[in-house]
Amino acid sequence: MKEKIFKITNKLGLHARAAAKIVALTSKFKSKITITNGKKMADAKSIMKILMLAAPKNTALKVNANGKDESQAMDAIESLFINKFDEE
Amino acid sequence: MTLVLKGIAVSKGISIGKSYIFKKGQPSVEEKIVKKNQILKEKRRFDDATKKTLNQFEFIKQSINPAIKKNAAMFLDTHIFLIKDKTFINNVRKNIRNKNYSADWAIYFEFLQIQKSFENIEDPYIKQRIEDIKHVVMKILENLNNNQIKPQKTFKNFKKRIIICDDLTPTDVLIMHESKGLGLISEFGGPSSHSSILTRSLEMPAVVGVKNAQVVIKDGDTLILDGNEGNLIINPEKKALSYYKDLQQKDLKKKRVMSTILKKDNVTLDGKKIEIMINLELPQELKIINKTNIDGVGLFRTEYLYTDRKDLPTEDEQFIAYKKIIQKMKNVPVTFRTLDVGSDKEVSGNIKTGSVAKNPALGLRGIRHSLYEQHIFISQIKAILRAGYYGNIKILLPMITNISEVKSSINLIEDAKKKLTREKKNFVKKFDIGIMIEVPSSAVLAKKFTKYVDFLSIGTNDLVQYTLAIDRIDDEVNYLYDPMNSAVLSLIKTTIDAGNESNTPVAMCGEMASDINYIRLLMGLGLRSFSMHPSAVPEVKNVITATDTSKIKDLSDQILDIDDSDQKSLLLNELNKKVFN
Repeated sequence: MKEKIFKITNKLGLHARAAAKIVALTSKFKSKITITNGKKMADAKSIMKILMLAAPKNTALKVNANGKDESQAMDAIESLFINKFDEE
Repeated sequence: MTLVLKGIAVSKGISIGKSYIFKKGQPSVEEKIVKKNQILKEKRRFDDATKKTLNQFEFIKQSINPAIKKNAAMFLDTHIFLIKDKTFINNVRKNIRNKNYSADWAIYFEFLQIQKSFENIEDPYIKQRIEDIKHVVMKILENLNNNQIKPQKTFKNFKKRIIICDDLTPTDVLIMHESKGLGLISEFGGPSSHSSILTRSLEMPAVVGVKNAQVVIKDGDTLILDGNEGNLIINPEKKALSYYKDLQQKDLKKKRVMSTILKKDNVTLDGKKIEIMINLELPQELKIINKTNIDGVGLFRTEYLYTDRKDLPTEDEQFIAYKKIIQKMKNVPVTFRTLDVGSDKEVSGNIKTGSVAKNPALGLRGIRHSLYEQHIFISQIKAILRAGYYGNIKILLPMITNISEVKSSINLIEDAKKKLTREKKNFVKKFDIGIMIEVPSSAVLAKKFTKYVDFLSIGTNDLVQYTLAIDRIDDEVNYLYDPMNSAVLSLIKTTIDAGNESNTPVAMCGEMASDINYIRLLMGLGLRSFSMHPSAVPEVKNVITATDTSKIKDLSDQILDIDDSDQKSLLLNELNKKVFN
């Protein structure tokens, strides 16, 4: 099980396109991946749940990955966050 | 806590009941539980609809221009992920499997849950994404019902509720009525919108233009809707409740008495036949009004075909619409007033009514517009004449001010007939042409006009306005609006006399003809034909059938001669109170 905390740095926060990017990415992995914002937790493969996290810029999110490919998954997610979802 | 909101009263009456907040754009999906043996079928319907929706989005994604592909594709990806969303799909399936919901309701129920969560989101940008979800959900629902194109006629949630909406289409109003809704409140709209007109015909209490009603009123609040004054009382106290309940009872009682009057013939106590006709603005009204003993449509306003759109209606489109109306009215005549745009009537972008005019009431309106944009007029006349082949029609020309306008119009009507003959289309050969008397000049010259036309129709709203030079919608001068003004009455009398002397029928289709205060006076002045809003028929008929025409003439003539307005009101009162034996 992997756990890491990321800060959202892109202007619009975790909006629809960013959420879509996350889903596109996480769907490639077999591990169970979740994103937590305070009390709210979302399945990282469900775009609706991610949107419902309602995470604006500067929110700190906790990502958990659990499964065979958890390390690769976490690395991929990390680079997505660092690259601000390829937006700016 | 009691709250009072104010809006524009558009349809009279009192409703008391619980509120139902109706968000526009939401489909009318209602709660539906299916039998156990239907569950599999519902699951399959859902899966098929989802697959179909997914294919549609994938197809669009593949077929978009590569130049814009990157952004658009990303946008479509969001939608595609939404359709494929496992949480969503699983929840819907659970709704079907565990709760026996129909596929439609299972999807919609899940959407309502999502919508609720989104309401708590503060970030406005993310909050708006509910629109994307809604879009996808709507598409799935659409695909779910593709094979059964049966538009819903009723919606259970409306039953016995006062419906609060943002804006309405006439179809919405009809559905609300069919579903036995109690009344209507909308945030937008004005008294002359099609929907407002329909609420009046349906006698469904309605108040429009109540800003933020959907925010202030909560679903299930107890409401008093006062369609007479335009007031809404939210969570009223006992005292207010009992006051309005009392008012409601009185209305009901009156309505019951009035409905029996409709069965009587339109004849006075002394056996004189009086024509009672109706004014219509929308074909939908025909479905709902009581046509018992109605002598015809004295005024069919055709503007509805031209408003709320960018293009102009084609001849065929108009023909089909008019034909339906004529067939619904069976054998009684339908008087089509040709397009009357301008002044206080709403005009959409497709019609040009003179950009120069600073005062539209005196500008390019009514027949002036028709003679200026002749192709629009001819196309309408052709449609009316073709429809006339299937029944009984009359043509009524608005805003006539001089004889040459009548001659020009008649020439154009002849042109239309020639065109129809050339096109080998069926059309009515014999029909009456009449003019509106709504400008002082045409009232003064009424006698001359009778040489050219088959009937006259007095439009009192404009006649009063033009005679007294006041704008009815101008709050600073509208106190001067007075149909009892001696000049107005004298013009009305001149018109009626001109008709009677030349055997040219004269009708009145303005508001005065539906106001029970003036019916006896008008009969006393010699008027024998009244056309009014359908809802006014019972009350007006009640007066007509209780009048002896041989005993009101003297008093009516006196009223015409008196200058003092107080004395005039006294005499009018006397006339109205008079009981005949």
